[in-house]
Amino acid sequence: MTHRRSLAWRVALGLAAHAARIVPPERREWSQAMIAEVDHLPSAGAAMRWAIGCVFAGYIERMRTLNHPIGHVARWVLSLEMLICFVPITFLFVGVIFSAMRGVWPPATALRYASATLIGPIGLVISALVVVFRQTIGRVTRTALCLLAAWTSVSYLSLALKYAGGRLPDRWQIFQIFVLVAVLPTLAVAHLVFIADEARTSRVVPEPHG
Amino acid sequence: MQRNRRASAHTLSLLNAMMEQPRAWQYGYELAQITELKSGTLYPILMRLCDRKLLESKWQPSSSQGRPPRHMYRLTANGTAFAKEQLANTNRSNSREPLGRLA
Repeated sequence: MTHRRSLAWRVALGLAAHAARIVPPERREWSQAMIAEVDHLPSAGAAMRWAIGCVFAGYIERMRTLNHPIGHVARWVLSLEMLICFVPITFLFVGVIFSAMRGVWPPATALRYASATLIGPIGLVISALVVVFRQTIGRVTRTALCLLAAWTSVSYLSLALKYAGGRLPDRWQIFQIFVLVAVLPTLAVAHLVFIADEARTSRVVPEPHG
Repeated sequence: MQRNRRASAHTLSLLNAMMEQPRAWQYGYELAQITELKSGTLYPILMRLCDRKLLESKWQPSSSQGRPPRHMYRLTANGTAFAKEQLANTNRSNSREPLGRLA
């Protein structure tokens, strides 16, 4: 059992101890189970590989706890959140459509601006369905929402970077607009997808992930 | 109405290994060796299966002196039924698709 005195063995034990510290309290028994196994492994290398896996498992479990809701949020609060997040970009979408109809931009630019703000009206409709009318949304809708939110973020980030070289007050204004038209809708989409997932898993037996 | 979603390839691999001896208690390292899953993949699956009462676990004192007790696992009756159903579904879909998930 000379491998039990090796540096690799001690590092493995250190990693296992780290894994035990990061797992959420309700999984404490499992971290003990993983650590106990280290003492039965045939070599320091195996112990090291095992301990690295324990750390991964610990972080996976810690990340999962982030998905657990803290209490229940009233639907009117959620409705208010969705309005705050989606109404500004919806106004922008309407503005873009009017400007496009007046021929302010070439068609390709108008199409790009319209697609980058489309998350506003679509997000408003879907959030009304989910939050107010308690409908569930399918995987396709959730994916489409996420893609639209990503497109909006990328579009406005590229615009923000393009104009970020200007004066400081301009930069501050760009940041404010970025938060209003890109960050808030993206957060609202993340919350909507989470709510939809919660509604789905409350009706379906959860899947053991592997 | 509740329904079971299709298990992942790793979960199926674990269920397959446990179905070799459904009533035997097995420890984590043994399961990892049979399934060739890393501990970081294996344990989250074991946790999920235990949460769903498809697996039962117990601590067993080690036969070697000075070693800590080991956490052992085996399928419950529900777990055995679940494993049979999932493995049968996989076999059916594998027979339809030549490139099945476990292939």
